[in-house]
Amino acid sequence: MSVWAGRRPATRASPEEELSLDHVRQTAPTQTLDDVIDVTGRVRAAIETVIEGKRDSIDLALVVLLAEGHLLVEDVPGVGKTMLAKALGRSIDCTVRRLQFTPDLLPSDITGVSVYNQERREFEFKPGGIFANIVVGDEINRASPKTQSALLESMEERQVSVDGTTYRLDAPFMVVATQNPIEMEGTYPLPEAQRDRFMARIEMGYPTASAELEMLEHHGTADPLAELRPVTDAATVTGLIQAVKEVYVAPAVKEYVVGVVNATRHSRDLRLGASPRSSLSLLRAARAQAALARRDYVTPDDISSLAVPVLAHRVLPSTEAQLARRSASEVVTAAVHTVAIPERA
Amino acid sequence: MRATDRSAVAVFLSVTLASLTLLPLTQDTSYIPLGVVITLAVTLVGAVVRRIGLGNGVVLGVQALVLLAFVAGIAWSLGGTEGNLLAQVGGLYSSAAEHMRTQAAPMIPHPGVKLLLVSAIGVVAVLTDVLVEGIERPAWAIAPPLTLYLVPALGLNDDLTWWPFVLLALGYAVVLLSEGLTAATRWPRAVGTPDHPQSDQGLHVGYAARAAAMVVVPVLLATVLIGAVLPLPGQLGWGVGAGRGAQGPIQMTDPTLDLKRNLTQPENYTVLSYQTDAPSGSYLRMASLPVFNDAGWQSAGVSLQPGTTLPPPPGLTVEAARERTTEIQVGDFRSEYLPLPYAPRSVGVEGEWAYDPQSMMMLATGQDRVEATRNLSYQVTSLDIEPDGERLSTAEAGAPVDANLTAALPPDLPPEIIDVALERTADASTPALKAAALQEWLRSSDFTYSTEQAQGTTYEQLSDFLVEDRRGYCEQFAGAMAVMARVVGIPSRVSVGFLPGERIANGFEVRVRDMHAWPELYFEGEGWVRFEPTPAVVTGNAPPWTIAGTNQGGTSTEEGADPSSEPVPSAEESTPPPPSPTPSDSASAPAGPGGGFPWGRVALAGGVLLGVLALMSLPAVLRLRRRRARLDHSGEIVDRVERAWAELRDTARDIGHPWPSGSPRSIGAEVSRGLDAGSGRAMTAMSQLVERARYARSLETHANVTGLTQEVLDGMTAPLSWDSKLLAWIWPRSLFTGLSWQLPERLRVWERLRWPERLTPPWRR
Repeated sequence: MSVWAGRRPATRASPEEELSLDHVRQTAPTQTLDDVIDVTGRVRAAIETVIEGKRDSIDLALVVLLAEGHLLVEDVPGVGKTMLAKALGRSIDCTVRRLQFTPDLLPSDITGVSVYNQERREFEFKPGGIFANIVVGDEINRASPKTQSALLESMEERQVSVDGTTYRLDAPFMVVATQNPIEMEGTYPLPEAQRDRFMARIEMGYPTASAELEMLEHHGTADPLAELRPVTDAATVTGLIQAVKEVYVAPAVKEYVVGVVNATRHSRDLRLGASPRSSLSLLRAARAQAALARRDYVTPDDISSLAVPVLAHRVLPSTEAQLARRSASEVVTAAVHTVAIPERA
Repeated sequence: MRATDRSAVAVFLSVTLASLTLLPLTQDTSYIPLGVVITLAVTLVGAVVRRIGLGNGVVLGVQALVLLAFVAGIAWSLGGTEGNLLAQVGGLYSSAAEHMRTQAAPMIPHPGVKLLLVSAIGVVAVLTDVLVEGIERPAWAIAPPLTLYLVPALGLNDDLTWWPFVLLALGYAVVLLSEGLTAATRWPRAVGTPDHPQSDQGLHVGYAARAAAMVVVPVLLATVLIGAVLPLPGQLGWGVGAGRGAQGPIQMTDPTLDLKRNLTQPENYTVLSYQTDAPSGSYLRMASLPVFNDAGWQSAGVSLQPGTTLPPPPGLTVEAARERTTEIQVGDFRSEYLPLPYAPRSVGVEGEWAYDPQSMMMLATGQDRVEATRNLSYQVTSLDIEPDGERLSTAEAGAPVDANLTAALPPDLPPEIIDVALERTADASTPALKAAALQEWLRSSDFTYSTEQAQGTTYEQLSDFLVEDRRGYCEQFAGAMAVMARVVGIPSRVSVGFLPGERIANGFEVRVRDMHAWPELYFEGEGWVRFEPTPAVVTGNAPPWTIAGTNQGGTSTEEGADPSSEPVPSAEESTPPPPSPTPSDSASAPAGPGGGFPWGRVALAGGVLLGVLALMSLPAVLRLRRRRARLDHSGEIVDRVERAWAELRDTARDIGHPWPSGSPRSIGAEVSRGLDAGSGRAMTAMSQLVERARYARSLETHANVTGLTQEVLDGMTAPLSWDSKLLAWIWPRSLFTGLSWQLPERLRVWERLRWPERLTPPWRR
């Protein structure tokens, strides 16, 4: 395990502190859609100084951030998975920790451990890697299932329980986990139930030729990540998250969400359809995407464009689909097209 | 298979099926393989030339050449090699026309008819091909095959059978289905994926099926109505003939030959006897001769209708006729004409008989027809035409349906006849008084009754009779009066039959020398009215209505005739009035195959054409109304935006512009790509308005919805050629896609049809 950065010490979330945390949430500065555009624009620009030509992936990462979700980045090594996660953390003035997952990583490395302080004659809680605003979990499939589930529990509940004490995690809280799909030996790929905890999965993909050329041009001499300065802070991001929650969703669009999710459940090409949790994720992500497009309402386009990143990693293609070499993304796309776009509210 | 190839196959099937509908016309089925070959050739040539990428004009030209070559080849093979090929073709066509005029369907085999049918099929194939592939309006592809179907449907006096109808509809459905499949591949799919092409295809096949329902049903309904309701049979000149399976035309004998022969019989034997409730007996009419030319009075080709219940007498609209019942027993008298009192309504008679609705005569059509009347007993219900003298005296000379025959004078009529007629009627003021004056003169002592036959041509005989020796028998009197009536403008014809005969104990007895001829003149409202110019020595008193009263003009009353002795009856209380003929009866009755201008038929055709035009313009009218309603300024802004959006969608569909399925934004992006910059921006703005109207909390906008819509509409229609605009206007496709035609999914088999992978040709894999 290697801890990459920790600007702020982890705080123990005692009941009083939980109260004050709520207080922070309530008094977070009121943000508008214009602020969302402004702030995310700055963050995007900052990340783009590090990663060339990955606008879609960056936007999806921002969507997940604003929708209070967690992001799973899945791709071959060297395409910038970790770079994306680190750049996102760096551009926001908040605590960022990196957890390098290895087979010997223990659950307590993630959650923290109580150590007996002989001077004070009491147990003292040493917070683990999870206590940060943005947690980068590298190669999450290399850790043992026990360790993985410790992480996933904290992700879902946004709190950690050690020795009977519950510690609240700070807001915003986002886990960006990466997974390498080609190196399978000695790994423990995330089971589907665990993948469900991630709001979205992205595949970075190779950069275009021009973007790669640009990268060689700029990254050959200096480390752009080191030069990256925060362009906003955690409180602002919390405010943006609140603003996103105000985005209007018409009843017809909600029906469309249900229709899309249902279509995956009834698709003959899928062994396992999307969960109810996924409809919630889809709607929250769609709100964030609408806000990023300076809209105060969600359109069916938001839903359909987010269906693959939000749903594809949660479903299981049937044997026939696998034999026909149809990926989960293809099957989900097909399922979405069977649902009629709602015409009137 | 390319879309055009599929259409070509559809055209081929459709025309081939339609060609089978001609089967009831002829006994010769050899036209079918030839028709198949010519259809195949035309569609094949069309498909090949289109594949090369040549334009429609070239395709049509090549197809026409192929058709001509084919027709010439058939003509050559049918008629040998002698003579000019062009003359050969022309000769075959004209002989075919003659054959059809004289034959009853199904016609016996005739090479000209075969050539004609094959040519017609070829032309229909070319036209259908042009409609389906040339101008891409497969919905109209019903029209050419429909003409093939209509020929037997309207021309034959048969009940419409169901199978030609089904063949026609089947062929049309094939064309529409091919169009549906083509549309599915040609129209862009915005969000369709290769995974689920069948849903998109199903949409367009559904469109095809709806279009089929919308077009086939009204057209075929109209066809059945026109064919079945209107009394059209015989219209198309299938000649004299009655009943199914008649082997040829019926040759009518000249009744005047019998007349002359019978009048000079040495023994005046009894030919028939009858009982009637008419007090003074009845003239028994056998035949009517409407044609007068240098060969004398002649019968014309008539359209015989099978049956023994006759239509109302032509032209009679006043209620002045009593119904009479007459029982007739014929003795040793042979004729194909049935002696009947005029105007017969229904006849109870054995054997096969047919009637002509114009002349109201009945002819035998069965075996041994020339002896049909021998020892025949039958019963007749007839209307006793006894016009009111006063009313008649003021009646106009009417125009019967066959006025082209009954009002025509030969151009070479000797002028002295015309002079005599005009001179004798100079004092009379109305047509009926002129007729009365002519009759009075002919019955006067100026003329002598004699059965001696005059010599010379018809005109010489007539001139002799009227100017020189003034001797003749009933035929001369009747003919002369009829000719002179035509001179003074009254349609006329000569009828042949029997005088009422002698009263015997129980009825009347008619002898062979009672055979007689008399003129019938046509008056408006009265129809055909019998006159009696033959002197009283033979005929007794003239009919009361034919004598001008003392108070009507300056003519004197005929000697021995008392107009008041037989008061003209108005309808008696016990007598049911004759059914008054409806205008359509007289308008649509056959005009006969002779010359002249068939106004009635033209009017009918015009009416049918107007009806068809109205039917065709119906979609345009409906579409226009819908557009007006949608571009209305009233209502909530949300509704206005939605209506305008629907109008944009339908206009795009009308002109064949892509309108993908999907969200407003994606539609807006897709559609504006095909527009110029200005209207493209308007389209994008409209799509965003719709998006907000549907999905945002509220829509507050100052945008000019109508202006934006109009801008997009202008942008859509601006690049179109005038004919495309016209087609979009006449045939708004959106009207048919908007219909909800929901079949249960398991019944929509075509959506599951897939071209088997292993059968796909390699170049399409």
